[in-house]
Order: sequence, then C-alpha cells, then structure tokens
Amino acid sequence: MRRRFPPFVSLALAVVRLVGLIVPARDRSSWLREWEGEILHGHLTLERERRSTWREQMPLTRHALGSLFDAAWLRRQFTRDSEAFQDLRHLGRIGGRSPLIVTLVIAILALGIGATTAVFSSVEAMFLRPLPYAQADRIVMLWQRTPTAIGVDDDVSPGNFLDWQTQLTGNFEAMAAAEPFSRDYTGGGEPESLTNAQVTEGFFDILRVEPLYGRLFTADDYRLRRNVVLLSAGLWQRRFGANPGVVGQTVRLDGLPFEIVGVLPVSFEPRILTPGMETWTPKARIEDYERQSRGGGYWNVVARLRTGVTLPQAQAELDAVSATLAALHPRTNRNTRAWVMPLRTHLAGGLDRTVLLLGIGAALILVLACTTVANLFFSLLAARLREFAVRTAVGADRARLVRQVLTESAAIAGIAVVGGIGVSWGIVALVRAASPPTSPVIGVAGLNLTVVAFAAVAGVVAALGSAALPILAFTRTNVTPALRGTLASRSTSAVPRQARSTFVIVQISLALILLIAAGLLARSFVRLLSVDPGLATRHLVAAQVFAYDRNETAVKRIAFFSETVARIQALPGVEAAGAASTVPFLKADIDIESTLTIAGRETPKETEAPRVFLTSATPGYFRAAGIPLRRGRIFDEDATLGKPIVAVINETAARRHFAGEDPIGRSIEVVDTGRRKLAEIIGVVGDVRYGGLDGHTRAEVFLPHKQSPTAGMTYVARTTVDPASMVHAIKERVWSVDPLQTFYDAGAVDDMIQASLQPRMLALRLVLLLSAIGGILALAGTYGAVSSVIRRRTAEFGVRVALGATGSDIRRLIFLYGVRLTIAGVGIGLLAAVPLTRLMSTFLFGVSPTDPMTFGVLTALLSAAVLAASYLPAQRASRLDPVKALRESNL
Amino acid sequence: MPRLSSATALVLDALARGSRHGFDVLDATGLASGTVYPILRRLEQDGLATSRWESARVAQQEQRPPRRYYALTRDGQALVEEARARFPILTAAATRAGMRRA
Repeated sequence: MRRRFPPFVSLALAVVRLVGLIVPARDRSSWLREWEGEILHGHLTLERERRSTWREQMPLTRHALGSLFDAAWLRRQFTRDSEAFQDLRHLGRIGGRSPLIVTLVIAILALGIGATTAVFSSVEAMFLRPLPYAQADRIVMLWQRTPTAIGVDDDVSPGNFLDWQTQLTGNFEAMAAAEPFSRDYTGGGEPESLTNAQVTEGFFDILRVEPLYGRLFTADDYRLRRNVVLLSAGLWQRRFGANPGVVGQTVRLDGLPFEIVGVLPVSFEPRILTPGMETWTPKARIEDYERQSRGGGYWNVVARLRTGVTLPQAQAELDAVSATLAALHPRTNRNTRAWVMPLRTHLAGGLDRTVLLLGIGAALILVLACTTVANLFFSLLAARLREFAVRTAVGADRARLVRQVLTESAAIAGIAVVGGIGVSWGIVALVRAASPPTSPVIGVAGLNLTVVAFAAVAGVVAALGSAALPILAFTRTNVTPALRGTLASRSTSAVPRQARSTFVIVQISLALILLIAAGLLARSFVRLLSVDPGLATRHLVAAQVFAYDRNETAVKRIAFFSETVARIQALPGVEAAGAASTVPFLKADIDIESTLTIAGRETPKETEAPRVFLTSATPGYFRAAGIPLRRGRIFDEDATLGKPIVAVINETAARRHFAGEDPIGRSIEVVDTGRRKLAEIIGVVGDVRYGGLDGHTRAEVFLPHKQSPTAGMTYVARTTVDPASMVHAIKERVWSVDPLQTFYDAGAVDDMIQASLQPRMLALRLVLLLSAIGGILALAGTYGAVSSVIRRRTAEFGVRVALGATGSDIRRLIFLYGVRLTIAGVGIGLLAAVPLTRLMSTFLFGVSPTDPMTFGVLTALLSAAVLAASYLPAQRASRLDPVKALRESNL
Repeated sequence: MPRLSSATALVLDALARGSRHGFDVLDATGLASGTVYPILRRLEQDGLATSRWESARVAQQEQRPPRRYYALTRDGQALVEEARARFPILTAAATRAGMRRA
C-alpha cells in the first residue's frame, strides 16, 4: 500500500522529482535518493515529536524548492566538463585569433545554403506543400488541342466540354467548366473592369474549398438563374476594405444588380483562365451556339476523378470519347487531341524549366561555397598543426582531436544555417517583389518548417563535406615534425597539395560557367533594350476599353470614339491622340485574323489562303503612336461608312504579299467580323512588334475605324509632359462622354514595357551577382593556393637561389603552377558550360547559347584575372632572400 | 579550492561540529538549501569533504530512503581552522551554543 503523506510533504517530494529532471542522467538517481531521504527523515522526525502541523511541515517544502539550485549547479558542472562545450569554447578562441577566416567561412557557407534553400522553397511550394483543396490529388484539368483552329490554345470548346460531361462518367465523378468574362463594376468610386469567370454548376464542389465568408453557389442559384457573385480575397481587400459585412450586399456589374454571396479565401488560386481572377458568377444558361462550338476553345475544364482511378485510366476513357467525337464531328474533331493533367502540374505552370535552371545555379553556388570553405579549412588546420602536435604529445588521442574539429565544423554549420535562412528569406523576398503578383509559384514560396529543416540539413552536409577532406588529410599526418618546429611544421605538406589544387580548379571552372551565363543574359538584355517596338514609346499613354455595352450599333461606336478621341486631343499636354483595336504591351491581346485575297490573283483554297491580322484604327492613331508612314498616305476622317473602303498595310504585309510590286492602289479582300470587305491599299506603314519586345511582327492590315467600327479599342496619346500624370485626365475625358465606361488597362507605355522586362532584369541581376561572387572566390582561391605552394617550398627556393637560380627562374616555376591551374579550370568550365547554357536558351534573345564571342571574351578575362592572381605571389617569391629562407627552414 | 565565503565557512564549521546530513547543516547554519547543497558539492569535488550513504538497515527500519552523510577530510579540517581564523564570529557563536547546552 502506498504511504500517504501530508500535503506539504507530498508537495516537497513532487518538487524534488520535477527538479530532478534537470540533474544530469548519471547523477539523477542518487540525487533523488538523497533529497527524498532528507525530506522523509524530516517528516518522520516531526511525526515522532508530534509536530506535524502544516506550519511545521512548510520548511520541508521550502528546502525542496532550494533543490533547484543544487540541480542547476550539477548541470552546469556537467556541461563545463563535457567535450562539446570545451570544443565550442575553443572555437570561440580560434574565432578571436582568426576572425577573418572564420567569418569568411560562415558567410560563404551561408550564401551557398541560402541560394539552395531559396530554390528548394519554390520546389516545396510547387510539389510538396499540400494544396488548399480537399483530396487535391483527385482533381484534374482537361485540355484539348485542335490544330485547325487559329492559334494553339489548350482551352476547351464548349461543345466538347458538354459531350465530355455527359459521356465521361466511368472514371470521372464530376466535371465543370469556367468561361472567361469581364464585368464592369460601377458601384462606388472609379468604374472598373473586373476579371470574371462564369462557372458551370458543380465547379466549387469539385474544388471543395471553404469560403472565407458567406457561401458558395447552390443548385438553386443555377436553377433560378440568380445574379449572385463570389469575390476573390484580393478584390475584397482592395475594393471592399476587407469588410466581412460585404456578404449580402448588392453591387452593380454590367449595369445589373448582383448579390455578393461569399468571399473566397486567400489560398484559393487555381489559376483557372487568368491568375488572380477577381469575380466568379454562375453560368446558368448554355447558349445554342455554344453547344455547336467545337473548334477553337476558350473554356477551362476541371474534374474530380473517382476514388482509386489512376491517371492512365482517366486518359484512356478520355481517348475513347475523343475517338467517338472525332467520328461524329469529323470537320472539327478529327485532329483534336485531349488530355488529362493533375491540378498540381497545372499549378506548377510550366515553371519546371525555370526551377531546374535555378536549381543548377544554386547547386553551382553551393559547390563553389564548399570548395572555398574547404580551402579555408585547410588553411585553418594547417595553422593549428603545432597546437595539435603539442596536444598529441601530452596524451590527447587523434580521435578526440578529430571529434573536436567536427564539433567546431558543426558549430560553424549551425551559425551558417541561421545566416543561410536569412539569405534565403532575402532572395525569396527580392524575387517576390520583382515578380508579377500573379506569378504562380514564386508568389507562394516562403519559409516554413520544411524549408528550415532543409536548410539545416544542407548546412550540416555542406559544412561537414567541406571539412571532411581536410580532416581526413590531417588524420594521416605525422605531427612530430611540427613539434620539433622544423620548417615542415609550417608547411602544408601534411595536406595533400592535390586536394587544394583540385578545389581551385573546381572554383575556376564554376566561376567561368557563372560568368558565361551572366554574359549571355546580359547580351540578351542589351539586345532586347535596343529592339525597336515599332511605336515611339516615350511620352505615350495607352488606355484600353471595351465599350460594347452602351454602343450596340456601328453609328454609336463611331460617334463614341470620335468624340472621346477629339476630347483627349484637346487636352493640354496632349500633342496627338488616336485609337486602335490592337496596341502592343496592353493587358488584353486582341488578335483578329482574316484571310487575304488580292485582286488580280488566283483565289486560293481557304485552308491555303494567306492570312493577315486586322486592326481598326482612327486616322490620328499612327501619328500619336509614332508609327512611321513609309509610302502613300494614311486615311482621314472622310473614310466613313458607305464610302469605298480604304486600307493601310504594314511593311511585313507588303514584303510578304507584294514582293517586288507597289501595293499602293491594289485591291484586297478581307473578312472583318464575318463580312467580306473589299479595300484599296492607300499606304504602307512601319511594322509594330506584338507579344513583348522579344515578340514578333506580323502582316497587318489597318482599316479606318469608321469603316470597321469595333467597340474594343485602345486610346493612345502622345504627351508633352510626364505621361503617367496624364492617365487620369484622359480617363476623365472618356468619362465626360460616358461616366460608366471602365478601363481594362491604362498607363504610360514605357512603364508597361519596364514591367514586362522585370523578370529578365531580376534574373540578370541575380546571375551577375552570383558570377561576381564566383569570380572573386576563384581569384582568392588561386591566390591562396599559389601562396601556400610558396610557403611550403620556401626552403627549396632558398636552396635553388643559393645554388644560382635567379628570381625570374623562381617566378617562372611558381607561375607555371598557376598556369596549369588556369588551363585545367578553364578547360573543364568550357566543357561544362556548353550543355548547361543550352538549358538557358528560352531565356536568351538574339544570342545563341554557345555564342562564341561571349564564351571567348569571358574566358579570356577570367584567365587573365586568374593568371594575375598567380603572378602576384610568384613575383613576391622571386625577391626571396635565400639566407632568410634557409634560416627559417632551420636548415 | 572554493572561495572562502562566509557561507562556505559556516558550512565547514557546521560539518566540523558534527552536522552530518544536508538538512542538519541547514538547521545548524540557518542558510537556505539552495546555498548549502552547492557548497557541499563543491567541497566534495575539491576533496575537502566526503560523503557516503547511511546504513541501509537504519533507513529500512524508518521506511525511508537512506540519507547521505558528509564528513570533512584532513584538508577540510585545515580549511576549517582558516575559516575560524578569518571569521571569529564562528568561534564566538559556538562558545555561546556550548554554554547554552551546558
């Protein structure tokens, strides 16, 4: 039976047992016996003397509390005696004696660990982190590719989706689609065009996401065709002040009242249609033309697989249905290919190649860091040979010394890991700041427990890997000469020269690879900056509108744009104004293609007919945009509806379709919004580049807006003042005609170009930084290796000089060593650079990945620098005083 | 050698005067257990005191774990003399205690 003690005695015993956890394990059991013995003896004494009141028992508890100090004292003694503690104190002393080397080691390791960790955090976000959707491994996207359609989109056509939905029931639990749309929000404040996805029933059930506030769409919303809307978290924060009370409110979208039924969570970003989709509405009705539409696609399809179904099984079912559709609809579906893609692959957004390249870059940096640190460890160990010799002589065993060095390396690794996490955080923040907010992965990469754990492992591997070879070399060293204080003790003969040389060769080759990569990117960037986009982009403002809602007829559209362009032209600060249906660098690419039939030539089959891109433009557009007139004239305000249609073509169209001829006066036929139009060519203008600075020119036909009145136009205005300051004024001129008109995009064109260059600029800066670091490390490594050779062979040089060798003989001897390092390093670097730079080809512009000039110039530069780093110590050695050298060697 | 603080001197004196267990030293010196026990450990570490467990039979009879005895070594005794010389109050207090017992 357990004895029951009075409360204060029980408390005292409990305290002692708790405190006992602090006591080192080896002393714990006897310590507990001692304290329990004292407490229980005290209790029994009090009982015997009949003094067992709580007042008399309390001192026992008070004494027990004091056991904490006893336990702490024992713990402190234990720690002080432990080897690890002594080693760490020793490391502190070394740090005090060689602060530069230790700091360098930590900084360089931190850099390597940081770069690798930053890349890993992207990999983790892409492939390892659980997606914010329930059973996300069951969610897939379905895509189609139809070669006969214009363009090569993977989006799905409505007719195909509807057939898939009814026929793919074996392996697919549910399927839904999203249609791209935009909604003009004219609630309070500035009218704004919001991105919108219209989703079929069951869309959110497939993704199984929990709304932040409110609810998702219900079956009744579809059945009753309610005007309801879900807001993205981003829009809710930006336009609605993150107010939870927004649920249930009504907003005006496209002039109609919509009830806000819910807000989606921040983590909801399925990258459906456009990343950063702002609003979601139900697509309750499928139109007849959509049921028939099977050619080009513009819907995104998402589906959930049944439990246990594999991807190959789902693909097989889709292939079977695709074959059935191809037989039923040969004209549209004969060559249509359809495939299933896991959602995670879709979210990775084709960034695999980027991450691969980044991973290679980070690995190069880590190896560079490790080889540099290994050389530094060699120096540190060599300097301590005498200390190790003395300790061995007084009885320390070699294993103990190796453990000491390992403890020091682990401590350095610990500090470097903390530094590396900081570096990694900085790199991710830098990349995030410079990336567009909708960038799929970089936007979510960050630091979490997994990433920190990776950094810790990388750090330990890097530090111990760097220290391994020096430690191994040391364990094979005979330290006795060090004890005798002979020259051999100061030498690195204990340390294999080959290992140091190998490290330096690796450093040189890695530095060369990084330099070449930086050089190629830099040349691409410079080429890109010098590209003529075809417009004069300085002092140019652009503002894109879709004015279909209140301008249903051609007459209304002509009137609207004529009036608004005139009002913009009249603004002080505006030199020239115009509008066109397609302007480069704006958010929405409007690509309207048509066949081209040239009068007087044989009409080709439709599938073989030449194709051109149609742009509708006001007469003032060309002057405002700075597009030069090459031949003939531009149409004027007289080119209106009812009059013969005129057209201006660009140089590419002239070259491609009128080579060797004068196109002016020729008649062409194009198909504009389904109608055939005959037009006379009156002028040729310069080419404009579409799809970014690294984009392309295309054959273009410009029609007067009054003869091709589209409602999707972009205003352009050439300003005499800072264009960014004119954006709001231009918007206000448009609002003075229609206060409800929203803008899809607006800004200074130069700013838009800068934004498009941001990712390249960032990549270039990163690679330049890394290559600079690599170069410095390679130079420092070479200098150190050559200097160590000199130190090692000082006696030998002294003897040579004493026997008649000249200073230049010594210099040549040492310099040749440096030359051998350079040749080996550069040779290996070049061989490795060729396949590696090929991986970069998608990031290059106007430069081949094996561009001979880049390779040649940078190889020559690095070689010269490395040779100079060898020459300097060689030069110093050539001025050696042989007497002093011989004395120092104790010969 | 531990620093000869007043607390150490008190503990040495208590041991010299016959206090053998930790809690006896607490009673004799009036110091807190958090002070006395680290001093006892230090004295043992420096070879000025030794410790051993009491007889298991005694402990068993009282149905409690054995207690630990502390005793001064010869070096410890020498240090006691030094302590008494440095802190005369130790001798005066002892005399008064002896007179009271008598």
